[in-house]
Amino acid sequence: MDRTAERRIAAARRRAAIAKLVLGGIGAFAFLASAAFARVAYPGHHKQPVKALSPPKSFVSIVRRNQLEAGILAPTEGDPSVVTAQT
Amino acid sequence: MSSFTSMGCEVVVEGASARELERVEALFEERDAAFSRFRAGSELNRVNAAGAASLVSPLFARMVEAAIWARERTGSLVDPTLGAALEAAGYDRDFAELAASEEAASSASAGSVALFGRVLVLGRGAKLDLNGVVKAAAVDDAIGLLSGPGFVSAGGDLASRGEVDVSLPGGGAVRLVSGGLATSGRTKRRWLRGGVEQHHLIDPATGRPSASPWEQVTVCGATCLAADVAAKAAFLLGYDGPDWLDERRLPGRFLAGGSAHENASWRTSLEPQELACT
Repeated sequence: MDRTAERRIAAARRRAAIAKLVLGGIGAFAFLASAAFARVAYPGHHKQPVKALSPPKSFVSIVRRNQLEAGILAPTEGDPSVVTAQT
Repeated sequence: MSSFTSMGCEVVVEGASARELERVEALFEERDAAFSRFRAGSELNRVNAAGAASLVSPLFARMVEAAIWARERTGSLVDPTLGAALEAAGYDRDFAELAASEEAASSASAGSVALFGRVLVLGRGAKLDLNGVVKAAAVDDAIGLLSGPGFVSAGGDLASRGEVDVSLPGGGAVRLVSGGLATSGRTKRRWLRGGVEQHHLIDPATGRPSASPWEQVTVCGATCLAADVAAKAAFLLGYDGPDWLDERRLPGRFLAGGSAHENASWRTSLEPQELACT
């Protein structure tokens, strides 16, 4: 093989190595960028610490207020069988 | 009708089978063992001694949750962190062992309490006293153990399944159709400290026994717990108590100087109901 052919082959190998490096870099960058984007944007990945789904505080307070409800009284119809006394 | 003693009072049970009565007694014993201020090994004393943060049992967490609910519902009138104020007033041992003392009573303010799951965080100097909430909740839980009609009464905190006629403080009677009936007041649990009469209903504004004009307040609630919390709040509110109950449509009966004052909701609930013909 003459020297000209050897130089051409060497140059081609350098270009190929550079091309592999560039393509590898682009691939790695694309993978990392996609992963980062997925983490930020995909709904299956939480961005903040997870909180349990809960009703708004105002709703809870209304429900709780309603828990202080009255019982039902009526006029007595017989002799009392029990006493309510102070505790 | 059966009765036994627990939580420093007589518990009366009607309508329970032998097996159900056993379960009711076990329930009260469990609650007393966990929440008594006067049993050295109680979980309450362990929590109060630990201060700051402590991991509590699921039952304890449930009762603290109920006590925090009561505080929220009553604008902090019924506060679970007044254990230190009770001790300052002289209620530092079982009521049966309390004796008059020349030592003057002092006061203590309410503290903070927060619950995160089963982690309880007490503010500095705060001591829990959950007795009222625990007893009323025990009555509510106990009535759930009965399979048929009946009632459970603990020191006058009453819940029924089915209708029951109830004798009221100061005379009179009423029929409890559903829910619970509770009476709070200052005529039974009282003692002398430095020549001054003390009682167990602490006003969180002063950290001392309340100077309420009422002797006893009886309230009917959807549950015994609701009735007990409302009765205590109405007592502590003094002359505003009847209206406070009316705003919530809770029937209340107030006793002072031997005469009874009934709020509008109480009177309305005892009026004969006219049946509409359709």
